[in-house]
Amino acid sequence: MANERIDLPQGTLDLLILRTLALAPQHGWGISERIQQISSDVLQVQQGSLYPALHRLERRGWIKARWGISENSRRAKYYELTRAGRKQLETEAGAWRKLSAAVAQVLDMA
Amino acid sequence: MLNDLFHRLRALFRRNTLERDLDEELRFHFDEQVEKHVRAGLSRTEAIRRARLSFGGIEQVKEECRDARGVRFVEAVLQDCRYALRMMRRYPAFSAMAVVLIGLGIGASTSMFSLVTASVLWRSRFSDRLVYLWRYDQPQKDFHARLPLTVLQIRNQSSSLERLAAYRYEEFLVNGLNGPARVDGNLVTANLLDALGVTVARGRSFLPEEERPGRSDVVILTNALWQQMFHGDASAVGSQISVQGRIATVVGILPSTFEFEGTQMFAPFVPEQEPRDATARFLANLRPGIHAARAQSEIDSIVAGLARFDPANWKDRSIRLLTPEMQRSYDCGPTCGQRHQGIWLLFGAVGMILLMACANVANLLLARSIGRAREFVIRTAIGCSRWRLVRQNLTESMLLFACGGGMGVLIAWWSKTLLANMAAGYIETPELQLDSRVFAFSALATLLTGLGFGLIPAVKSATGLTSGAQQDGGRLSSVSVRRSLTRRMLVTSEFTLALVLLIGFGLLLRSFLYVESIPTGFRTDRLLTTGTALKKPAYKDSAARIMFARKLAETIRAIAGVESSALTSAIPLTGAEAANIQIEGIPSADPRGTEVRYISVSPDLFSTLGIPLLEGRTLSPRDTETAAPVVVINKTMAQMFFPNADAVGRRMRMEESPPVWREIVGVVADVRQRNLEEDSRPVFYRPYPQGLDEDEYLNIAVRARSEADMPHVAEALRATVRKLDPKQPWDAVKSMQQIIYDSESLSLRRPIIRLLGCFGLLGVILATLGLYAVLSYSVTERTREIGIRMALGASRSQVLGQITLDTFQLTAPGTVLGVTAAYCLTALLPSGHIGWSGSGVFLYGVSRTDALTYVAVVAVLGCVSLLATFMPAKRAMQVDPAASLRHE
Repeated sequence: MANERIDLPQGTLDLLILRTLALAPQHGWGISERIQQISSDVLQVQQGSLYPALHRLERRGWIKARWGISENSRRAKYYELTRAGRKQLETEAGAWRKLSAAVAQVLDMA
Repeated sequence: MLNDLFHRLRALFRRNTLERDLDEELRFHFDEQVEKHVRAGLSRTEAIRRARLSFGGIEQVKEECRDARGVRFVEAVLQDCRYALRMMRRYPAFSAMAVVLIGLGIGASTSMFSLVTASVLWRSRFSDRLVYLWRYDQPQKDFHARLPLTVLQIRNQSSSLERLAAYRYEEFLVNGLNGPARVDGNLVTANLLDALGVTVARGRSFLPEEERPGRSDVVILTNALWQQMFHGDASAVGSQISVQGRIATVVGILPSTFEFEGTQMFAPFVPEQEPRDATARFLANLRPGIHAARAQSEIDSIVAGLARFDPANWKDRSIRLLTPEMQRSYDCGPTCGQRHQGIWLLFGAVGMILLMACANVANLLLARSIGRAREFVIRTAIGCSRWRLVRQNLTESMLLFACGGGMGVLIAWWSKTLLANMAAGYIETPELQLDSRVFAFSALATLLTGLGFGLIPAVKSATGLTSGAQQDGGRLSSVSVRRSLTRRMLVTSEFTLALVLLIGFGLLLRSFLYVESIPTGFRTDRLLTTGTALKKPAYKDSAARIMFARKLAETIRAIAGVESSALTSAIPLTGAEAANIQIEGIPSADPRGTEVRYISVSPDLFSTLGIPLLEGRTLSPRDTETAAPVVVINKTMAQMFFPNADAVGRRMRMEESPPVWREIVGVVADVRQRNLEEDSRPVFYRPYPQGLDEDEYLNIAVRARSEADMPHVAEALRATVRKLDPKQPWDAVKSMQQIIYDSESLSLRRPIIRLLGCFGLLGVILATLGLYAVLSYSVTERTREIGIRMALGASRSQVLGQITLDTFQLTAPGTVLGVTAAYCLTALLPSGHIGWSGSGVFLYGVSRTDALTYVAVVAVLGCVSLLATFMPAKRAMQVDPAASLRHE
């Protein structure tokens, strides 16, 4: 199982976080679980990069944080997408799709 | 962008909250992870172990989150500052010393800068399109300031000049709140202030219709006169004062920064009331976009037209457009109005003081960093980067410099009256202002010196750390040798600067002493003088003035305690009127004559002043209005016109109407008429009954019988002149010694000498301190070495010789460099013959290579450096070999 995991390419973590938060506000733990779940355990987010990334995105104004109560009634820090974040997600997702399509095309020729 | 800033600021100021939040957030994540493992069926202990493994160092995660906040740098700086404060408290004596040194340097330069702003930068700037119009006489290649008033007519003819304005010096007799007073001023056309580019601070400027008769009884006062007469009362505008015996309304007050040829008051020019041959000075503005050369060629063609109608005034003459600098230079010599030269000189001197103070501080920092070498080595060993160490050191120095800068501002604040008093006579400022500009200067000076001089020890202490330093605390290792080289260089440059300061001071002091010793050409003891100007309408013609003078002479002779008395239109050392003359039988190059000075005197002037007669006779009481016109000339004039012949018996003629031939009856010795430095000029004396012009003053010179008589003679003199005509204003009664003391030749030099002397002294103290610190440190550093030498048989005198050699090695290069630098820098001081108005900083009677000055200064510094050697040398000689070795 360990072999099937892929390290995230530089810069894609931000995109994944934004995409996850586009569904609903979520805390850090939830984000990492969600990414892992949706990618069928292929993508695993390291805490060491998740939290710095969250703080960086917050500083840029793409997400904002607020304290809430988790499912098991604990205080947890929830992040949600801002308007600027939504816009950023659209641009980055578009760019990513274009890139991956192009890469796939090149790989599939022959 | 704003969001970003907000987050960074919050990271700075809400640090603790953020840390708590981060902690809680990560703990939540961790607990959830554990829960997940437990749900998957692991035991709690195993679950926690797994979670820890996958988390991979919670502190590292936190660090990275902190980095993401983007305030790492600021946080580190704050941390450095806290550490630096702790260091300051740990070395209180060191910190106090450094702060005082920096404070002295910054304080001195800050107060000097306030002087610069007050005297140079604060002067209101005139329009940059300002040009002056001067007359140029082609045959003599001579410039003259005054043009016929008729030049005003070309106002409308010129397409390259606008705002052509005329002005003429006028002494106003003002009867204001404080009794009668003589006020220097100018008659000006209404557009003069516009042409200068100046606006009044209160009230209004003159109106064009005020150039017409009947409307012209209005005046504008300078700020200084307004303060003097009205004590700054705002209601002065609109009030009435008596000017030239007429009632005039004050319509405007000029800003305090305004300075124009010594003017205190302006009144309107009324061209219609001027005589046909009236003259005035002119200035104008170039029209926008017009080059001076084009304006000049247009003026040339206009003057060519004038010459056709008015050949008497314009034949072989033209009008030249001069820049303000050129006009000032032609007006009163190259150093005229150049007081900023002295100010910049002092500012330069103060800059050197600042550098020396900072060099001393850098030296102290270096010495301390050697003591702290072990600390730095340990910090490097546990992972502190070089750059971080440099930054830490620099922060420490910057904090010291910041404290020193604050201290400097306090010193400047405290010394501003002192400085203003010391500079009095050179710059008249009622009070030095410490405004935002001055504060900005001191902040900048602190920052730059802090960076410059803090960086040397910071880099030095962070680099070249060897493992050797770890073992013996940095002593005697290659590091300390290299560092002591830096310290030695600092001391050497301090010596260089001190030498330059002292040599500059020495040369100017020698000039001052020389000027003071110049013989005046007459006896100056027991002489009292006062003067006035006899003006219309009270003294309407020559006859009225002569009658008054005669009455005055008689009354004064009767004062008790008076040995002799005389009247003269010009007291020595205060200048004299100029006139063009022609000598009978000697054709002059210029048909209009040769310019000489003339003085109208009573016959007893020569005996009262003690001016020796060289040939012929002096003037006599019989030379009255009705007698044959006669003159006595001075030696310079005799040599100028009659180099090989007898002057007595020849005749001369002034430019006057109707022209009168006056016979030269005697030749007298030269007197310093203008100032002490200037060569004698040709002067002739005429008896006052044979001419006393309205332009001329009337001065009394009285010699008291004894020094003791002087106070009551002065009092009697004041009472007598007041009684004779209560409405006539007289100058304060002054002794001749006072006049010499106050003369520009000495009074401009005195403040410069005084201030430069103080700076020189400060420089010597700083250089000595620096030398002492380095020597004293090197003795401490070498205690063991000295101990070993002495144990091996070196005598005390050999040790002393070693220390003295050390001193010599420090001071000799400084001396050589200093002498060279002084030789180069003194070339900037003007020297030789200067026009009649000096800046107080030019060399006179002493060459800039004056050996005595150089030798004396080197000797003084030599003695002082021996003094600095004394204490450390004594300590070195008292080293007990056994004790020093045991100590290790």
